[in-house]
Amino acid sequence: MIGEDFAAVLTAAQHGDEAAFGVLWHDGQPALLRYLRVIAPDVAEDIASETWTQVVRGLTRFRGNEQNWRAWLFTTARRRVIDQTRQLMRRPATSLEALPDLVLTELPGLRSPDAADLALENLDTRAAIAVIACLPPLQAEVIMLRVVAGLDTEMVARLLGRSPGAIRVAAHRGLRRLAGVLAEARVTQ
Amino acid sequence: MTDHGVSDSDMPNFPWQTRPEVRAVDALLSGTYKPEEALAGLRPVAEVLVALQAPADRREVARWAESLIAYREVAGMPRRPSRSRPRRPSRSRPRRPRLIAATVGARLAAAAGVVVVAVLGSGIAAAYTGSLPVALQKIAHVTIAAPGVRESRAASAPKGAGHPEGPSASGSAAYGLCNAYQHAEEHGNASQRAVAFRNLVDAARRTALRSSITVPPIRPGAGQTRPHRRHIRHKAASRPPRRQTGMTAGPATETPMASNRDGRHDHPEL
Repeated sequence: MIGEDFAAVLTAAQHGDEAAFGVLWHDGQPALLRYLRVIAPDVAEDIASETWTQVVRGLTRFRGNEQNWRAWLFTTARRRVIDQTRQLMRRPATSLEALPDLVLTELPGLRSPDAADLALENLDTRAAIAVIACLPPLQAEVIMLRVVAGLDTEMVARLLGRSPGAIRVAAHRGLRRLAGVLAEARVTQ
Repeated sequence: MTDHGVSDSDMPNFPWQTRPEVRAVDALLSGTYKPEEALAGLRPVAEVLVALQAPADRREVARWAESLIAYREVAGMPRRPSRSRPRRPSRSRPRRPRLIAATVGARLAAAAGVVVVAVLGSGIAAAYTGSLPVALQKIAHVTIAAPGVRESRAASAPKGAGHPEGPSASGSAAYGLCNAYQHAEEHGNASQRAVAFRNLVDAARRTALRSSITVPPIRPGAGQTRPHRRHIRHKAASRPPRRQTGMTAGPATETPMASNRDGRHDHPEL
């Protein structure tokens, strides 16, 4: 998070200051990429780049605080993922393996069962992302938006088109499930 | 009961058993909870969430250049020098007009060169085929040894009654004509200085000796009609007197030399 300097950084970036845009980018890109690796791991890098291209196009028109900025960034990325998913599903020859994980996670048992073990052995960011990706899609996405994107419950609710209560419940259930997965992994070790 | 916009299925039904656990989870989600402070059951979860917020590694920011290009090019941002990092020289936009100018300039120069070569080439070709206008053909004859004006063309060329072709010797060109004539008289023209012409002169001398006719030495250009004697006379006054050659051969012509049909010169001295 940029914090108090956000307004000045945003204004400078809107006026062509590359260093200011670099601050925005380096603050948002890691979180964006981690979020995309959970909801669309196969195309995360490409969608992140497309997201920034789209954000740059509308940068001068953006008005809002840092929460609004991050909400805009992640909303743009999520729409790109949905567009990508629709394009893949429209193709008649698309195989099941070609679909991004956003679709595949609806099917149980397709995720790697070793993700939790991996997380316990070497708890770096990639392992943590792998563990979160084990959760049901809504719970995983809510946790990523709350924890990684830093959005509050209301923002996440608006972004996902759900009620704040539903978001709160999904987050709690997701963490409870995560605790259960990690505990199970420790027992089996 | 549920609030507006919350369905019954969204009714808060937290899996955590106690109120402190619920508060702890809220704190975890908002990032204000440290793993070591977490409840025993939540510590592994807290560690995962902290790992999710770890600083970026190198691979995650590898596409910065790509986004920077998009920032520069796609958005068309007004340029402002960066304070914290050195500004890269922006090449694409200032270079484009220079490239266009260079390309257009090179093409124009090439086209102009082609036009000049074509005009010169066609002019030279016309001169050597004798198809230039009479005046131009005479110039080409003198300068690049192109064939002279043919008699038929000379005859068909419009002439005033009794007036010679070319510039009027009594007009404003008289001075230049006199100088040219005098120069030819003293030094000879290009044809008279040619080796073939000299050989011809020598042959004529030998023939003259054989027939016991005294032939005075021939000076190239001598014995020709001298137009505008008055003008020459005032120049000749400052020079030593010219030796008389005694040349009398050939009819006087309006020009120092006349060309025959083949474009060769008839030299009246011979």
